[in-house]
Amino acid sequence: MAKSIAIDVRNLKKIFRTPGDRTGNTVLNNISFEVPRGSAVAVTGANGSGKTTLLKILATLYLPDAGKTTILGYDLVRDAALIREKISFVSPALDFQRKLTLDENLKFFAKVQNSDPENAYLFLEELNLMEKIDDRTETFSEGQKAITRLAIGLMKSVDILLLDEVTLGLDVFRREQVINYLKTQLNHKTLMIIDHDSTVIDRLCEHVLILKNGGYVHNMMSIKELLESLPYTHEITALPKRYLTDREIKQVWPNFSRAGGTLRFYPTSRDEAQVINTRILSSGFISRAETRSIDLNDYSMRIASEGDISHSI
Amino acid sequence: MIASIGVIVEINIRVPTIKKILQTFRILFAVTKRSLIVDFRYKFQLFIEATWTAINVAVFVLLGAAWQASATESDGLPYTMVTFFIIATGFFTVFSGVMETTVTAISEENQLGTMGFLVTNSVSPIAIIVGRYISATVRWLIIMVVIVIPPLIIRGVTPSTMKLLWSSILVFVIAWIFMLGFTLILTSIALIFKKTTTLNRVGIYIVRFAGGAFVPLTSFDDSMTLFAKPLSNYLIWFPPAFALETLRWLFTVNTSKGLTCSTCGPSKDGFAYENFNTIFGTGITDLTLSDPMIRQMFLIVFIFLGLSLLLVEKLTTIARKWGTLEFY
Repeated sequence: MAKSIAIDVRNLKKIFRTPGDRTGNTVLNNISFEVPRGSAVAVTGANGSGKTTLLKILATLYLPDAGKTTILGYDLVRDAALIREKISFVSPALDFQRKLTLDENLKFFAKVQNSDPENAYLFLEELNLMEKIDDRTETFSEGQKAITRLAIGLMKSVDILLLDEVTLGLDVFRREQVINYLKTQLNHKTLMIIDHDSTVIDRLCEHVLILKNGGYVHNMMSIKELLESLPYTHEITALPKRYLTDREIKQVWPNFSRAGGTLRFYPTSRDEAQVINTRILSSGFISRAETRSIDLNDYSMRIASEGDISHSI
Repeated sequence: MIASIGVIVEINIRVPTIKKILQTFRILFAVTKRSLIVDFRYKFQLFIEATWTAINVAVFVLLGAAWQASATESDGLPYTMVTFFIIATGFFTVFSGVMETTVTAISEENQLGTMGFLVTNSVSPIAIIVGRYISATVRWLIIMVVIVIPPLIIRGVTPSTMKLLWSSILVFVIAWIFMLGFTLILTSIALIFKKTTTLNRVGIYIVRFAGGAFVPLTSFDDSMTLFAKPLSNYLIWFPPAFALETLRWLFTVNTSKGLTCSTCGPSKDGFAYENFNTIFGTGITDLTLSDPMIRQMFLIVFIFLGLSLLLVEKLTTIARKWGTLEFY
């Protein structure tokens, strides 16, 4: 394997079987991809497409049923203990002992990781949680727990960060702080992140790995390529004053969709967006309109609506 | 031949480095400390455990007193039935308590959701179980010293020499290692099957009964004719029973049939074991590491511990395969 590859996944398969069900639920079906060292990859896809399962396999919590996966050159199955020293996995599904204080928890993980809790203290200082350092974590809010998980995960000096919904439960201000902190800490680290907030992905990642239901990789590409692959650049959401016929809407712009009582127009450039907005203003039958640039959510929505896109890398 | 039937056996033994050994001890220390801190934060639970132990002592003292008239002398044992039960209660206060506390280690971590974080931070299920076992030992030893030792002292059952203390520690260690192996097996089943409370209770009860906590081992003698020297073999292969029985004798050194220095002979620890050997068919010369039977027992408990560790490793692998490692 080339030295520049951090994570190399070949034909990875994961099936969860329950008693009486020999076929099982295939969560990941022969997926293959490579993550270069130092790159930041977002894992996205619909609910149940196997995102968290993939991260848990890479974090050595689950064993794959088939395939060959190496992390930093170590075999995922044979060298799990070595891999655990090189990765940090943070997920809302992972918790800490709540009878202990924040400081006791940090010191415990620092001891088992053989790391320095000072890194965690710096992070907590940044996130204004140091005042809670001697409080038992059972009294923490969901947001404070999310910060504690990250503090534990970031304390370890690792090559690969696997982050699953780490901003879940954080308020807007703290999410911004976390994103900024991660950006400063990422230097040369490889990141794989799951986050349903596209702003987190936009800010932290260059590549996106898209999984689709049934356990397949739909695509892996750079975020720029991905956004360019969409047939429009903006989305204008409009609220009509009354029910409009298709003919009336086409007078504004021919490329549109309806969702409940809302109309959506899809211009392919900023100029077209301006034209649509001018027509909306002059039409008189639209009460409110909002224009925004497209982001990852639009791509996810598109995959979800297209359903059986079978575009494999 | 092996290849022709499609079976490949890969022997992959990795010799642990000094760094790895130190890392293991560091993790064990951290897990033990964490368990101790958490355990002592549940003060109501500690109070209940101490109370339950006191009730056990009281009930078994009454049972021993009721049984006293018919049992001891005919079996040639040196202790009274009250002493018989108090020492068993003390012994199993520690071991049943330790096992009961430890067998929930995996399911508790799963319930708390902490398992995933521990495993991805190099804390294996083995470290979780062993760390919990050590911390539980500390906790239950404290309870034993506070609750069980006073009644023994009141009855005049006291350690009389330092040599006796050393012998007591030695047999306790043998039983402790065996119980660690047994607890590892019981606890690790929770990696695969999530509701194991009843199984654990049954396992602990079997060990307690087979260890001779409720019935004198001499009453088993006639029913075990399968072996030439049934009781001695039983004691060798099931060290908790040996430990409990020798502790009973060690704490009754001053009685006429107990271990006494008046007929010391060649024994290195200063006690004579003729009476013990006669009753149990054993050949103990002294309770030190130089005794062949003690060495044999150490070998057995370490092999058992090794097999238990292998089983936990195997179950951990299955749990990772089935996805049950971190779920409750």
